[in-house]
Amino acid sequence: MPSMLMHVMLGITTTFATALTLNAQAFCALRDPIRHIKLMHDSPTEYRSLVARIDEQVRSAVSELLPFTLHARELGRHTLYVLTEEGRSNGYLHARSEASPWGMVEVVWSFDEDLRVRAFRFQRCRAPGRPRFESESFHKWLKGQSFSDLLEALDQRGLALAPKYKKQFSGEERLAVTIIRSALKAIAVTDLAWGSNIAERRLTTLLANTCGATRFETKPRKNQEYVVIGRNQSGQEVGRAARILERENQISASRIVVFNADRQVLLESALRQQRASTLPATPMAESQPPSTLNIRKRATLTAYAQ
Amino acid sequence: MTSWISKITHCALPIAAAASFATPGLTQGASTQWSQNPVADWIGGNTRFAMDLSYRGTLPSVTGKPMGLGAIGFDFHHVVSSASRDIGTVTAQGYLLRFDNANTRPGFVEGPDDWDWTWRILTFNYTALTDGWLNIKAGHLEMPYGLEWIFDSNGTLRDYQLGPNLGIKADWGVSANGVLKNFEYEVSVTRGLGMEIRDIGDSYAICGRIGTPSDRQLVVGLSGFHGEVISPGPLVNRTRFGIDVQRQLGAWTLLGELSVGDDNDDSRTQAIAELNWVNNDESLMIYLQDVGRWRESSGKTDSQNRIALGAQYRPDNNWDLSTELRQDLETLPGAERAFTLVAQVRYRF
Repeated sequence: MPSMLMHVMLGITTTFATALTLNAQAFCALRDPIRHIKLMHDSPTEYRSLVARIDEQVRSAVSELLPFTLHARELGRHTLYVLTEEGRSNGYLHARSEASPWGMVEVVWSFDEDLRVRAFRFQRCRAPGRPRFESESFHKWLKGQSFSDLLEALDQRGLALAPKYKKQFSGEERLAVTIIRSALKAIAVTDLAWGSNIAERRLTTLLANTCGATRFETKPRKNQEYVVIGRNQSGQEVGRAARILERENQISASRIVVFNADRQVLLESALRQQRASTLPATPMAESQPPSTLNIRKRATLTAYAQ
Repeated sequence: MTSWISKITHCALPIAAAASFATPGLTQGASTQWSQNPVADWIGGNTRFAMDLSYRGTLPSVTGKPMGLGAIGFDFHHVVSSASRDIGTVTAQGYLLRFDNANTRPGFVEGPDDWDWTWRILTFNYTALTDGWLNIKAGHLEMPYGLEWIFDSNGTLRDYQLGPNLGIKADWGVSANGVLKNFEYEVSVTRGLGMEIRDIGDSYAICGRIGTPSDRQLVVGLSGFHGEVISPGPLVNRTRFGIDVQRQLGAWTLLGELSVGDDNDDSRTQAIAELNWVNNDESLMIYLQDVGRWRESSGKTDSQNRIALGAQYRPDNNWDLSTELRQDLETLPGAERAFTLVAQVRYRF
């Protein structure tokens, strides 16, 4: 009888679990975000959890952006902490784990709204060289780095430092590579898994920063693409920002384009481009790669579609 | 004192349940992309859920008869949030346990072959009170004491002897907890009943730990426990003070815990020492652990000592295969020194 009951229970639980497409335990959880937030941000900052599923599709999309991808144990449900300061969007906090000769190195990353590194802290790091990377000079070097900046710091396979950084991290190259790989993964995963959740925040913030917009109107588009119209206090349109996916109808890196009132590109932010930077007002230069040109055309069409 | 503690802890679970369900309804609804539907948020939002199946076999050399422990459980973790901030966390770990030929077993198990439902953890931690230095947790919570507070050993062979030391590993009640820049703490007031729900008199337990941040390579904690707690016989007046240390040395970690105190008027001491090693992705851990206990009663001191060599292999997010070889080096009077082989297979999905 007990054996039969055990089998019945197993059947029930399996059915229940399958029906709800449950997920395994998250691999790297940020156990106490409060301490990290306090230590990385001087001003009072509120945080809000956003749990998302990191699955094979995300893993595959990461492998298109990086010469390496997520470990199988990094899949599952993970948390992004969305930060707010006095009601204003103030970036994101995300923890990633990276295998190393000293076990898993868990790093907590703080990114701004453009997904550039703002600060980092170890949640767990057994490496003897840890103090060198907790120094102010390393934090200064890392602050403001974008996805493409960090990618340039590694060799083509993402296994070693690029030659120009070897001297800087001499003696601790392995841990430096581990930290940079962790940052790259964290930025990529934030964009791929939470991109649509945080799109409105990011577009609004970028419009406020570039066009001085104070009022915003959001227009959701198909396939997790978004458009936000920025207006001034009198209601006049001062710019638009669009988030589009590099590949339609599948999980892929996003591109954010901000236009001014004259439909000129003020800013373009993407993981894959050489450098996420402010562009000239007439950016449609012949020298741009065709794919970038096409994506920018699509961003214009998306932003101004009726 | 025990009556007001009893009243507080009696109210803990209803308060926890009410707070966890009422809070999102009161605070959600702002126009954001993640909080437009509180119901959807509860079902598919900030929730982590896993089923947990395991079976553990124990073969002691003394009897030669294998013992078994099966578990079918769930692990539920939900962050309750408003539009802009987290409010609290609901954690529920419920398990249906099956004991086979369990000659040695926890007090709440009635016989050697038995089924039991247990709540390992069932808590709501209210985190919106301050900016993190004071949170309030209520429900069936783990005793904040020693190494177990840093390393959750529930469901694993690796264990930090919280149950044998305090008599209870988790209990119904409330706690204050928080993290500050240079230390973290938790202090609980609970019913002193462990897994039991029935009233057994004026039992209570006060427990707490304060320690340096657990994200550092050197972690030190101080713990204390006092209460009138459940035992196989009458309530026991138990007091403990403990110190725990963790030191990471590359892939190696040294752990130690020393706990002293008394049960009624008898002196008690427990010491734990562990050395463990992990591989690059921590799919494999190997550890050597020694546990010593001393009890002094009527001027006579008895002691026991056991050493264990264990391995835990977790190839992916689902499987967890563990084994442990235990050898008694010293036993209490009347007990035989035994070699014990323990193995467990666990699957989470």
